[in-house]
Amino acid sequence: MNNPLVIFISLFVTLAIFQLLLLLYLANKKIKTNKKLAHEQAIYAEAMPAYIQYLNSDPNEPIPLPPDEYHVAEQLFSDCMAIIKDEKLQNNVRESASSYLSSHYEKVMKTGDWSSRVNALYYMEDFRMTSLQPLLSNRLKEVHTNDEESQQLIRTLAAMGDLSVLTYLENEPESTESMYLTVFSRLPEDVVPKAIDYVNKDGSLKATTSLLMYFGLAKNLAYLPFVEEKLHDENSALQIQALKAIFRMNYISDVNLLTPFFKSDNWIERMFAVKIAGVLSLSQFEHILVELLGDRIWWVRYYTADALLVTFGENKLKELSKSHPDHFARDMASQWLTLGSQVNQNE
Amino acid sequence: MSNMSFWIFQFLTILIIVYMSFTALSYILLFLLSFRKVSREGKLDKKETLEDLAISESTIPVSIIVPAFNEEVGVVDTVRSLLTLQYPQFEIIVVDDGSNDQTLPKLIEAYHLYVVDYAIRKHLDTQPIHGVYKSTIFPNLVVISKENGGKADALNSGINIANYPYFCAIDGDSMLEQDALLKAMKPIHASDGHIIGVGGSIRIANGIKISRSKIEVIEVPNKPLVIMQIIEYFRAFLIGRLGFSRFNQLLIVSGAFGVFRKDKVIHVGGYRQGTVGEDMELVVRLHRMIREEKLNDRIEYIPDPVCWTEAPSSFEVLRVQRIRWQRGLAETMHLHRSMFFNPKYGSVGLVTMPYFFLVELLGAVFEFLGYLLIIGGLLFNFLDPTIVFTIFLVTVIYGSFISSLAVLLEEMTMHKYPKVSHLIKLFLWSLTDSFWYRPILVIWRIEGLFAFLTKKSEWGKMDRKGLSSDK
Repeated sequence: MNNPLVIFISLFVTLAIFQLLLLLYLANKKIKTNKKLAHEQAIYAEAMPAYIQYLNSDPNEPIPLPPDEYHVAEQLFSDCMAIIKDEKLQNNVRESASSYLSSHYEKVMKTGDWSSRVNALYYMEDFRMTSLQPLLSNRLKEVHTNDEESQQLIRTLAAMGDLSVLTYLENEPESTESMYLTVFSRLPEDVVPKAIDYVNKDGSLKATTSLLMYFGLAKNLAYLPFVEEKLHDENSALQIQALKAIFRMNYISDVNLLTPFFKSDNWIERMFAVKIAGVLSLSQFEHILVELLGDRIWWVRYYTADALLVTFGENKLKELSKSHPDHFARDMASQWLTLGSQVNQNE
Repeated sequence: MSNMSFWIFQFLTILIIVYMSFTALSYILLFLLSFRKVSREGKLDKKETLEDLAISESTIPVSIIVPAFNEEVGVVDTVRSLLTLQYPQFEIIVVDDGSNDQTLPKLIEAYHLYVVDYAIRKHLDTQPIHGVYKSTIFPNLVVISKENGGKADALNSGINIANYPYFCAIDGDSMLEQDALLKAMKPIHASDGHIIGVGGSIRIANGIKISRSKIEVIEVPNKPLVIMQIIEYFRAFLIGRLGFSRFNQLLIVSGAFGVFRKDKVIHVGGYRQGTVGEDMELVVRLHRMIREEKLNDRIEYIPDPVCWTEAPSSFEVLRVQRIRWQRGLAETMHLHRSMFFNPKYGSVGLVTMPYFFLVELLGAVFEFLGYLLIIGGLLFNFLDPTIVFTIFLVTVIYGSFISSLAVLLEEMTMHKYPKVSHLIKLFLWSLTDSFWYRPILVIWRIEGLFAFLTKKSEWGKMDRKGLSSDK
């Protein structure tokens, strides 16, 4: 038993020494980090007013920041972007960021560790540092894992208007709809028509549904024809996304496009048709809505009651809460009578 | 001593040394497997990583369900802090589970609640609902008053009424960090719904200062019993869960803070009533579903989203809590015993369930035997002193050293405690683990096993002080 004892004593001592050294290292690192943080906070506090003044003065003056204070600079420019609404001043901030941070970021992308590269990419996107676009395109070709770095590369390149990211996503089996949506929502306005062309020509189902999602979120009626065209698509997923987009856009060019969806076998399609009828107060669908108040799906009944309340008012719902032949419909009408009136008051 | 007894003790000694060495090594291996990922992601700019989700209209809305039974001390603060969460769209559903204190009146008064006629979908069977209340001030706050049915029943009632596709279950005495929900939902978004459950880290709130629903100052408390629980939570969350999560083997998502995909939870029948470990039992059932239906779904642990919770500060309350936890673990293992060594459940059945049985459930028995052998060996000389000394060393490595390592790992990855003095204090206290805290826990965990075997339940009462320091 002596040998095992020696082994365990050795292990015990080794672990104790290792942990003690690690503790000393971490404590020392924490002291340094806290000092650095305090130092950066002091520089930031000093630089912020000077920089605001600088933004409104001669652009040929040097940026009022000590050299190599990259963390402070990132924070400063980022905060300025958040508080400044004037586009010209925002461009000035972007130019400051470009001139102060470009070469640093180039170095980080080439030699920095994973976290530094990803952090740099976040800021490159915020500051639209288009001069670094070729470097990022090359990096995306080199990255072979689907992690935060590759995803942020895609986001940053999309923000710079680089459509090659769509090809990248189409070739990537792990691409998700949320990634496509992220790309579409970042593309500069003038690049969106090219993205539509791309999706129409080579786009996968994921790309098309995500583009519809984006149109709904953007609420830009210029894209309505594309959205309405997809209502006729054979694929139900595209039809649902088109309905969602119309609901969010709050507009439909021809209300008759909705009619088939009230009778759809797919309850999600019925629900969105009802939601659209409600949000647009389409009184011509009164009979259908009354019928759908007794739908077998809770969600359809829920939004139908909402649509009836918004379109025809409380009296209609009161009447239905007593007279509707379906008792689930009557329950739902009663719920909306208390819930809906309160929602309206809050609004 | 007879030859027979000698060999029995000899065998037990070797068994315990091998068991503790194996467990300690497995803890370290589990952490090392995911250390790189956590460490590098910990250095990312938090604000930037969440910016997208925080402002996007496409962010998945979440229903936050707060079961509350006699939570009059903290429930108003908990709701207030939830209302200030950074998240684009969420609703808060507080389920008053038949409290016999002032939980409901306090909520009615604080948030100007009024009764609504609510048509509730019965996805899951629950105890009858007395009333549904909405707030005139906060349209996204709903309170359900129902017949007492236990935590699982309260959560199921919340699920029935929830409007959104994901729900977040949190305890009535807990507080989420402002961006915790964003952090928990980030991987769910990225996975297009294939992540069906996410557990965050739970930290001990005793000692932190909360003002205006925000965490203002993080301090290490002075009570040794609470300090040891802080260390124990580091150990539980940073060692083990990370490694299991990486291989989609996470069996525990703490009931104090977990996010789940609602349709999947409804599909498996919701929280199981009549068990004290309803949180773990649900997760095991979701794993069953994933394997039985050959789905590509995952359940993950994300260390960064943090939920602060009030820990027991007295031995008696802690004892009752630990007995309950151990009983819950035993119940879940028993309920799903058909998964053990069953190839149908892949590595969950072949490796993780047996590992949990051996390490988490029976660990207390092995540790107890280890302590008995040390004490007995010293007092009655039935073991060679070198053997006693070897068990002692292994016990300290297994207890104190793994705990102190957990403290260091926390500092290397999450570093939530800002001062150097915090690090030193936690480290020094962790070294005492094997000498008083773990032996006490071991006894309570064994009591928990007996409680399971005798079906004896004891809920006890948590002496709440509330988390907020606002008057």
